[in-house]
Amino acid sequence: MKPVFIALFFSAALLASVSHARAERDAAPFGKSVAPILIKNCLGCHNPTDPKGTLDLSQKKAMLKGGDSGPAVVPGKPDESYIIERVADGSMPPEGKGKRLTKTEIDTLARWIKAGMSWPKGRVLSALELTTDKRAGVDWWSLQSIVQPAIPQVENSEWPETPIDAFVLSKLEERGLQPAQPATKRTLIRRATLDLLGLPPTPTEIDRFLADDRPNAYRRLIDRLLASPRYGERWGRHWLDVVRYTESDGFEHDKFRPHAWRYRDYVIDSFNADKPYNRFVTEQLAGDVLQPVTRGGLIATGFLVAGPWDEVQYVAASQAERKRAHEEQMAEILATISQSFFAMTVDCARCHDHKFDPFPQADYYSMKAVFDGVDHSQGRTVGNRSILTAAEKKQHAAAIAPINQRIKQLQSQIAVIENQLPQPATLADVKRLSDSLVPGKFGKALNTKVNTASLASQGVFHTPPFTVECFAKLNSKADFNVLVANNLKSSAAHWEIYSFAGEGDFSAYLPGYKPNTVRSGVNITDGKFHYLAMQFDGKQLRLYVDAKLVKEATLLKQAGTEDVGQLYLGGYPPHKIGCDGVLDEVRISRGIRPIDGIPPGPWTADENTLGLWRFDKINHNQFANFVPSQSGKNAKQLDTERQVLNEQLQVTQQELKSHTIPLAYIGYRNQPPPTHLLLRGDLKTPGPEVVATGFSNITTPNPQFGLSSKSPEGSRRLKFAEWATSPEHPLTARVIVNRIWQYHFGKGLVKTPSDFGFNGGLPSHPELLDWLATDFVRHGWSIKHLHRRIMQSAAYRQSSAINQRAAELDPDNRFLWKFSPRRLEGETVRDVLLAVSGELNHQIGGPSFQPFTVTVFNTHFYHLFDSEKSQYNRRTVYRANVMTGRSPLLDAFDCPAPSISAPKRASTTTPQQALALMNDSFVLRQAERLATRTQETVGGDANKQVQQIYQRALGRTPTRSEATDMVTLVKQHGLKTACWVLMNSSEFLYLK
Amino acid sequence: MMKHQSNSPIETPQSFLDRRGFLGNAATGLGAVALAWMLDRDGYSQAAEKPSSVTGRLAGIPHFPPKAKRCIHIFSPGGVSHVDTFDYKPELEKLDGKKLSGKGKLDPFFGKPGVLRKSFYKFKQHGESGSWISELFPHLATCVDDMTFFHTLVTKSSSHTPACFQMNTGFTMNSFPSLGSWLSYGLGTENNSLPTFVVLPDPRGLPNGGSNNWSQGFLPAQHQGTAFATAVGQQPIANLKTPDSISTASRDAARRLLKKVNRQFAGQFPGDNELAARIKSYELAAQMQTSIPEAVDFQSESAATQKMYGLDNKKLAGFGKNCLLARRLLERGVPFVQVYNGGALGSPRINWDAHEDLVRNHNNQGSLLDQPAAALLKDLKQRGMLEDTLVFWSSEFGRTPFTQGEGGKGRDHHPLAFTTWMAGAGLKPGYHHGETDEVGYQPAINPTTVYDFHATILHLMGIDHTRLTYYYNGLNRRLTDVHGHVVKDALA
Repeated sequence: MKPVFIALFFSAALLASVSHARAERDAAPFGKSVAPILIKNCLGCHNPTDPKGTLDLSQKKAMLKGGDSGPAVVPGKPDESYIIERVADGSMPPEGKGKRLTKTEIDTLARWIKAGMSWPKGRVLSALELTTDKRAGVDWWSLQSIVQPAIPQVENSEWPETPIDAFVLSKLEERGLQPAQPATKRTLIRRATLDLLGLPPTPTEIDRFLADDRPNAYRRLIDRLLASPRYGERWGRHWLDVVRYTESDGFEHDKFRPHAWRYRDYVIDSFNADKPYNRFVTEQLAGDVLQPVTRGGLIATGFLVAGPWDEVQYVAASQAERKRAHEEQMAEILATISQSFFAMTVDCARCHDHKFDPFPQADYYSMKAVFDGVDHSQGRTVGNRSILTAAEKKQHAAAIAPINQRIKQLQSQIAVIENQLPQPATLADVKRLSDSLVPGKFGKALNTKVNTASLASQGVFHTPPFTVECFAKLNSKADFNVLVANNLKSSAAHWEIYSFAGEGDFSAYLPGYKPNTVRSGVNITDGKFHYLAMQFDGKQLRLYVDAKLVKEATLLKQAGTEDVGQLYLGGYPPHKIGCDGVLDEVRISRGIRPIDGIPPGPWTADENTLGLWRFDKINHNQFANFVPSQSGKNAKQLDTERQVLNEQLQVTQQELKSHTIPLAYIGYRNQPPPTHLLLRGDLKTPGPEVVATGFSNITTPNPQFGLSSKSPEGSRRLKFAEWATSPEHPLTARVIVNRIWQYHFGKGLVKTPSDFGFNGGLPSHPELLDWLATDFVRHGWSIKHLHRRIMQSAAYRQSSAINQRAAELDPDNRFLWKFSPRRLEGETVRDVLLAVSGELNHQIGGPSFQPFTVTVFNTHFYHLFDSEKSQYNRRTVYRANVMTGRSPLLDAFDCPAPSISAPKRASTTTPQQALALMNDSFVLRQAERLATRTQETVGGDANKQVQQIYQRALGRTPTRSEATDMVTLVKQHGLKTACWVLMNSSEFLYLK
Repeated sequence: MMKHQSNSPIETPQSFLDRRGFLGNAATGLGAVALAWMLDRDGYSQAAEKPSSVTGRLAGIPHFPPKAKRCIHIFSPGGVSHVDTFDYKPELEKLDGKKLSGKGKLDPFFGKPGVLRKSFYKFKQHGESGSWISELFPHLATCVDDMTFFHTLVTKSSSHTPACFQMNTGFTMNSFPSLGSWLSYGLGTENNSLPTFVVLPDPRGLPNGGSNNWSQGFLPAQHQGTAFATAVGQQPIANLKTPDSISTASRDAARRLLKKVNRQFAGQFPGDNELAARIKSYELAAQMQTSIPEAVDFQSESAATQKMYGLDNKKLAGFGKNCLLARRLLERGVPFVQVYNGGALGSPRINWDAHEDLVRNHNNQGSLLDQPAAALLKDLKQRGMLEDTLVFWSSEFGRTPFTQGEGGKGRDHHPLAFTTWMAGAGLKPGYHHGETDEVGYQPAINPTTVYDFHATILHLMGIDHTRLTYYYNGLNRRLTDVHGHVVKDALA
């Protein structure tokens, strides 16, 4: 077929309103002969944006006006026209900028000038209109509408089994090549199973297929494979490669994203359900605003934020740094969208017009306007969001309201009892009991350097007037030393007494009041015991050191929630603030207890004492509270009542937990301010405002959405998604069809699956690509249909045998004279090892398994471990895909770095790869398990064992000489050594 | 279909670029032996200066005769204060305690510009070059005549990790290929049985961002930096050692049969280089199993050498060992080693991030760096290696000439101007490139971007930074993006 060449002429200035400027406006000779010469040879430099020598050749007026060297033309007089002089002497275009004009071209220009320079009114030329040998224009192949080509005629009419084969064979015949023989059934089932499931066929499955003589046996095989849930796990992983799926933030912290897996499951489920691709695209771009909103739709937008996130941008006070980081983040998102769905690099037009493809700089910012509302976070609030739909939210609220009510009730009942019970203080670190007690002021005291104690606080502890006293001996003033702290610092009911860092003076902090800090100025960190006290009546606060009044201040109450939490003795653990010293005798009293001298001996409780801890003895990790019970009931009875209530509380809290809102890492959406083009991509030089559009170089479907800078951000993404998934879109279907083809054959029809632009490859079979694209759309954008189409073809079913002549003519097998063998991807290597050893855990979906421990030193560090536990033997797609927690085994087999799109896997062969297969404990264990499993099935006969491991690992029986070699090895060095050999063998690692 | 010419590096099988793409994607990793033969067969080797001992080298490289054959990067993360170390600013003493004005809006990372603060250290001139160095570096001060200083580095971000990424990869984002990966990809190696890009992290811990600092990005995975574990009892690299439970006899027998099996399989696909390379890779793996333990074993190093690097000093031994190991790796043909003098951010400080108390911080970090780094320079020189070895030192940015907050004792991050230095092959010794303004706030003359810095490093290694490219998603990508000029003035 001969696709029609549609010349689409645009004017750069009018790109935003493409409805004008049509081919018919350009009457010959200008449109057909003159304009192309100017566009291809001159406009690159002499354009209105940045005219070299101030000469602009895009419009007649500008041309007549000329530049630094005067007018470019004199109408009617080519001989006096400067432009003719320069192109004729060859000085224009300058060397390196373009080819010298041919004589015919110069003649054409001259004749046109002589005839008076007709120029259609309003026509403005643009360098982006036409493809040259330096760049692509709007006429670039991938931007043209797709028309279904006719199926070509071929000589060898026997071979084609599907339309695909006719296209393939026609190209082969053009080159005098013939396809290879069909692959054997045994090869075919292994190929198809590894290809569709990423797992090997079992010996039983192989036998069954070999025994199936029905004519549609192969078709049934494909149907069976496509129906397997393993299919989505395999093909979902391909898509995750493209969309740079990561499960950690990267950058400084590289924090794990515990809720990112939902997007991974969404992708797997979508493939398994054969979700129409247009729907799949729409959901990932705008599923959160697609009515009716579904959980799947919300999760799908995890795509937008599946890349890295720089949390530290919000630590910065520097505005320049914040904006820089945000702009980079946006560029990353736009690059992913334009490359994943359209195989275009719009992101290269961020600082200037695209150097190679027809994207004016405005296109980048128009696309930015579409997605400007997308963010990973809201400030430092991480983008883990509820995926409940509106209806589910209502149900949820209704379900938890009574539970919360019950919890509140139980808590208040417990509080009533606890207020009647003396509360012991519990030690924080039970491993440090032996050195927690040291000699104190009176008897023993709490060594606050190694331990702290706490108890549930009570409302009365912060109800003024009250008095707090203690004895303390502090050693250092370098840091804060917290003596007694009541409730969390975030609570308006918080108070604490402490020594201030650096100065060491006795101080009090009450965030519910103003001023919140009262400092005595008296240093108490001299290594001696001091008697310290604070009196507070709600307004006046007094601090005493050794019974001397050292500070008095007036405080004013501020609004705030008075949450009751814990009373901490000897530190403030929530912020890891300690106390370098010893704490003895803490007493909290109702009312203002007079401070009139240093107490000479141990304290006792009276009717005003709310709490008294002497720290003389540890009993079951606790220090007794010496306040007498104030209820008529005895303490034991109260304690029993409390226990019963506590148990009820736990059950109720557990019930609440079962109603936890499911979260997914989908980021935030905010209505953005108007989007501006940035001159040279520089935040300091904003240019004109732009609105959300599609690509200006595509006319059908119309990229104008009729939106303004006030349009809701969600509606922009929805419009963009509609535009992207229009059956008429020239890129969307072509791009996905090519990706699917690539994963089947190892190579795309276009070899650069994320780049259909000038720097990318041209299709080896352009008609086939277009035929597949139209067929795909016609069949409801069904990817499973596409798999069937491709796998039914004789092209796919060829053997991988070498044909010497073809290998010389087409060493790269671009024209498919055989099936190209290829090494399995890293995930598949690991999955196949597990499948063959019998250890594979088939659990589908859910949170990722994490074969690492994490330590945090600002950055999160991931320390890998190898475990034989079943939970770590799930398929590799379920392994937590953390940027700095990569596995050496998977790395050795070219698993790509997360957070960066990998449209195509590398396939390298390195000594590290050999080392991994030789010595990795995981691999060795699988060899051992295969051996054990085999012994269990066939017993101790080495011959039978060898037969069995060949069947399991390679899906075939060994030849006689192979069997002899392997049996010898088994006899001398054991079966697991033989299993190791097969698991290291090339045949094991290759799909052929 | 219209006839369009593609600029694609992988379109026509016969094109040079196609081969590049193919090599990049398929065969560079062979430990490159099969690759070498492929180059011979295809006649591309004529184009390259290809010493017979080098494998995996890209066609056309070196682009010109290299001055340096190997390279060490000493990286001091956290932000080393230039005005307290290598950039002497006498004016700052006069202006001490005053507000900095006339420089536009001050916008440091934590947003609290304090007052100008003279250097916390005394400066003195050293060597024949008369280079000013602060008292923080008594040992390095004795090497100034072998060093070349760049006083006007400018980087994009005032945040540690993006700035570290830029120093390492040219980009502020995650997962771009690091300089070492580019060199591995371009240069190949003289020694197939050692990794081509080795990272020696600070014994106190990995830097912020961890292994993302030596990511291979979109380059094939074997160009990723290999971080050696240097703690006693650990294998330097994963899976190096054959487990004790496997006897030598058993492993040898298994390997013999594996080779036979793999040869038979390869026989079904004559001409398949990947399959041939797999067989070879097992031989190289075996070599690696002996060559790496040999490289990390210091037995053959004299007591004097070990002492020079500070190995007799408990405090210095960690970084000192890494400096010595770096030299040993270079000697054995590893083209690029990165040594870290500093770990991640956090508390206690184990890098140069001196917000709170600069003297306390820099005293500690400086004493760790000074002696071993100077020893490395001297050792390379006395062995005649400095002539064709490039050593360069950098942080990710400098620190503000004003304090962080009024009355502060520390300084904030400063990306607008900072000092780095190089030493060794092809450089003007004792030369100072660029000058900052009177207080060290901005470049006064000759600003040097990180791109320029990288371009210069590649240049010294015989590589034109605009021609070391890898096709990825629409562009022939470079370490220097679309920027960078070689700092010719600094070259001998």
